[in-house]
Amino acid sequence: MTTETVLDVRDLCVSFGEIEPVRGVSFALRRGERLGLVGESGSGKSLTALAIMRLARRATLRGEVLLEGRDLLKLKPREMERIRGGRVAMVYQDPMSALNPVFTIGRQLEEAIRLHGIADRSAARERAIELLDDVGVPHPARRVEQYPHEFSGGMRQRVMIAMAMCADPAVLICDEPTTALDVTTQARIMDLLDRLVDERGTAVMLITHDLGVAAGFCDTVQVMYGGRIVERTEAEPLYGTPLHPYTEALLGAAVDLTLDLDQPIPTIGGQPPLAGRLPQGCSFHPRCRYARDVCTAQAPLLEEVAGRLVECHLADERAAAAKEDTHVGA
Amino acid sequence: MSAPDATPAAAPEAGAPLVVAEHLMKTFRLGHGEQLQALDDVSLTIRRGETFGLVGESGSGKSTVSRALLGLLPLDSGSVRFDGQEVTRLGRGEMRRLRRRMQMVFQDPFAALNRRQSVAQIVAAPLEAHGVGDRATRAARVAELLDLVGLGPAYRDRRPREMSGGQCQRVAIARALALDPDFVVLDESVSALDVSIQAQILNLLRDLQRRLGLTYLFISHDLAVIRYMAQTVCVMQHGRIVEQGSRDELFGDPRQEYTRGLMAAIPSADPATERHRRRSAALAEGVGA
Repeated sequence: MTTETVLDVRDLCVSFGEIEPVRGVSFALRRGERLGLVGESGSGKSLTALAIMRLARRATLRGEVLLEGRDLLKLKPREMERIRGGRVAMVYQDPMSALNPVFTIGRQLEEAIRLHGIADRSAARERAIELLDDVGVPHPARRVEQYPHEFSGGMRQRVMIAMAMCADPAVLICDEPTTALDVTTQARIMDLLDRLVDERGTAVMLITHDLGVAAGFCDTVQVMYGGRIVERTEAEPLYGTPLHPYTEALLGAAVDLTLDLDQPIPTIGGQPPLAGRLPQGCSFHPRCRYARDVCTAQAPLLEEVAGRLVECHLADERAAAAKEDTHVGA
Repeated sequence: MSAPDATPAAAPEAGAPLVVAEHLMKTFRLGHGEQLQALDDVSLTIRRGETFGLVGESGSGKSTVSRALLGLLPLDSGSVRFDGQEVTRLGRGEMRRLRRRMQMVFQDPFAALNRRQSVAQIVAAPLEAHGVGDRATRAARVAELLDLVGLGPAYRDRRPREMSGGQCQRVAIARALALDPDFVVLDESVSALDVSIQAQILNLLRDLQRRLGLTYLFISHDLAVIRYMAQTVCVMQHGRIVEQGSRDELFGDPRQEYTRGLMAAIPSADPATERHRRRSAALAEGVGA
């Protein structure tokens, strides 16, 4: 795998007046990388994506979003329009609201294709059919003539992915792409994204609240809470030995087929904080079972601990304890 | 905790059939001469005190079944008995009395709650509609219900938009319990909630069931959640029951291809297991195609 960085987000802040739902987010994405951004509603994950796309309405953006070396936050709106859907594209949760119900799928795909390079109408039609075929829509030559309502949820999401891929973007952001879909359809969409990364080297940022979906797809996972990334590392160590107490709690609360039926599900008490009403100190401390005095007084910083990034006062201690555990276990 | 005029002769026996549906048939006309077989010979028995899990993909007929059981859907044929009474043949007044014993909690708590009303008004609404108690006893009952679902008295005067999804779902549950029902239909009631909140609500529902002896019909597309909640599980596809059995039978030894497919598609929150699962699922699909 090459190590070429295609997207470099540096200290991104998104604010609406006094309220700052995204507070200094930094991460990089390499060509062909599968990056997960997980967190609960209100953690700032979708807003981070919208800010990268410059689609966060009425928001003030600070920091840098370097896409292949160009700072998107410095571009004029017209320049950004060419990049959006060109070098960076996005797929949303609800494909129905992203498609226009009164135009055929073919027409909408052609419009996207012509915006990003191919001017000739019949060439654009040909390309549209090719794209639909590539994302696994059966009978593409017939399907281009149909309207969005004639497509199932899974097929619509395939169309959205085809549209996002039409200019062969360097970065594809997928915001809960399978949340509205059935599990079997979800599995097929994730397979499709996998194939696109393998074949084209597209870097994918997958935003999801579903830890299972992230586990199967991502090389690296970052966890967001209260507008900050609180832990980032490769998928296996993150799921295996979560160092941030929030990551640990989130994994504990996930319902899967191994859950003990006789016990209550381990939960995190309370609610995620609202932007603008963040507690003093560490934003997770009111819900954290390990919280100490320092956690209420002082906000921790995202620091490297045991080869990963963690934003927790207790990270060193927890890393040492985890290491001891594995030694004892071995 | 019991509603004022509920006078059970004897404590109903746990495990006895509470809802029995036999050979339910329902066809919807779609226009252009097309028809949809929404229910195709659906029979099931929900026992007192249990959680009956109904699982299937969207459009499989899960919600249609629940509407039929609650007497909200005119059937083409078939019978639904609730505690021995034939639901499909009840008059308006009898149905109204029966409705008190069956309640529903839906997926989207924001859509299900009146935005203009306070929490206290929302929870008291069923008591008022059925003329239960006076102002003072209703207020006391509301306080009791809010406490039961883990919302403090401070929530009385809040409105839905001032609360999170999880808090709104607690209000919806309190409202469903107001008339002290026997049977509660939970239709994708935790599907829209975040992981940590979903866990809180599932724990609450199990706790309430134990304390109040409730019978649940738990509808979900999520087999892992169904496994945690339900003792009996029924899998639906295209309006038909594909497979039905105890949790252990169904999860231990799924007999139908369709059930196995659904189970194989559940993601696991462990990268190694999950990668392996997806690889073998993709292989199996390749072989099958």
